[in-house]
Amino acid sequence: MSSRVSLVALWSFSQLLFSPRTLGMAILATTPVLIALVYRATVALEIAAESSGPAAFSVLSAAVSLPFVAPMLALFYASGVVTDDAEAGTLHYFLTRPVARRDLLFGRMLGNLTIVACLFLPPFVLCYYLTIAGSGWQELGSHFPTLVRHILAASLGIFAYSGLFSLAGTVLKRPLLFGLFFVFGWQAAASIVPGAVRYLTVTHYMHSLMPHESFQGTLAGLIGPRSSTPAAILALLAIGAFTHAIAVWVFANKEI
Amino acid sequence: MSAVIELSGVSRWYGSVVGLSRVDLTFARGVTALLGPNGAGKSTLLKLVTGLLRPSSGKVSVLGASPFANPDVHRKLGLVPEEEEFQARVNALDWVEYLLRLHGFDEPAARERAHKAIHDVGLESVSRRRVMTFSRGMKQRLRIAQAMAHDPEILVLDEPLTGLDPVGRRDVIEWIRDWGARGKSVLVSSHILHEVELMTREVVLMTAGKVMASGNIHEIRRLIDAHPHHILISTPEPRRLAAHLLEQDGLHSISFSEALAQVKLETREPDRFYELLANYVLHLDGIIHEVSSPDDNLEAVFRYLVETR
Repeated sequence: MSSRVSLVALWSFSQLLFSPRTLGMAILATTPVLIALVYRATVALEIAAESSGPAAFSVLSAAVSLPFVAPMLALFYASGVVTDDAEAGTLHYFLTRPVARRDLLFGRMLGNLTIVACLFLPPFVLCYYLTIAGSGWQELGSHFPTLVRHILAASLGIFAYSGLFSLAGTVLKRPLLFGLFFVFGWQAAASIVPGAVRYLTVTHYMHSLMPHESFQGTLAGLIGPRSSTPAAILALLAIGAFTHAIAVWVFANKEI
Repeated sequence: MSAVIELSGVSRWYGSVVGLSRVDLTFARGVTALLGPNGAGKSTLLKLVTGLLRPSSGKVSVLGASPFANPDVHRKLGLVPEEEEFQARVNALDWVEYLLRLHGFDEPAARERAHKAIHDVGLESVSRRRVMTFSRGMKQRLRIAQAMAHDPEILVLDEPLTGLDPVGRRDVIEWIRDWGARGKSVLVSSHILHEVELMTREVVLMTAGKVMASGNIHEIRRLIDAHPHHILISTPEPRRLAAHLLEQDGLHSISFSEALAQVKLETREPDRFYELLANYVLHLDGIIHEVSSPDDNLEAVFRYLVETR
């Protein structure tokens, strides 16, 4: 990675870190933690059984963190990869510097991904701890592979979403609207349509990476058939890499 | 002197709107001003030169290369954009330093240059303040600081005097002249003729995406002065003033309106009449309230030029 890319990434990260957007996203990212705390309270009050911890974590991950928090974080940062500077009126300063445009955009994307990871992962791991910790340290250890699979699904999903929304950010004037439609309109509709349409969503591949035991009963019915783990990994990597690359190409040729 | 910037048959369209039409221009070292009313194509030309736009047809060459997304050209270029903003939470020093780091300067060198640039534009006392708290004039000084900090060979300034107070205007005009005198190429756009006259003698007059005239400002002045110049005088005694003025030679036409309390005249010797009116102010007490010229705006100047072509 060139020093200019890391310089841009670091600058973007530092500018975003204390921004009002990050405050809002931090609140969103901690929502699952609040739900996990409520779950802990129900266990303490003996409303829920202690042994239901792993299932509670899976439901929290499959119903809140992965389909809602992860795409929202990716959307609110990645869609601004170009429009933030265009709206702030700072794009001209950067585009007349002796830095390749691809490096500028790579740096911005890297800064965005870093902040999304910082916002998503700690609360997610905390949820795992809160839901399973009551069963003892041994339980935490034995369910660790489950956590890893959930983190893998989330990380690859965020990568894919970020690429998609970065591309929208370089092409569209209102990328946020596109993103909201994609997440809550298209993906929601595709998941209930029978046939191959679900392969055109990111959620399908994210769900495919989650442990099988995460989906039981109603949840399993909503998710539908799954792709194999290697296919899901490859699909998410391909979506992320392809959309990021196209976004860079568009930006490199963009007239301002 | 060899051309630093060259435009050959350059046109640029925005859909069906013509931004620039078949422009052939060369810019050498020194200060050149692009003069024209709003919508003349000045900003489009500057965007083409700085590589933010590509020409729809023709060729733009800066230091022998195409400037579009070209880091080699941008290394030698400084841009003061018009009305561009800054990132909200950044302070002036960090902003200039970051842009210098993007130029490839290491941290100590970038910091040193940023300090110097901030000092040179008179923002030293507010260098740690967030830019969002700056006045319009201070922001304009910061735009100039970031453009000059890396000592570019070519400086491009889009309406650099916008938002500046008289002291700021004087300073910026002085800096521009100084840059030109140091053998740098300075391309500056403006729509105010008298400001441009203080910066340079070399001008390019543009309107509706076309170059109307280019060369020495005095030649263009002469061209303009060959046409009757309008002077509008507000007066409580239009009949009396008109009678005084009618006695003068060089008057092309005169009219007055009691209702509007004004006298309107046309002359080919505007300087002599302005002097005369100044004398009237001194000797005919209270007869003149205000003197203005509709010709002071560039649109009128360009109307003259269009009519003569």
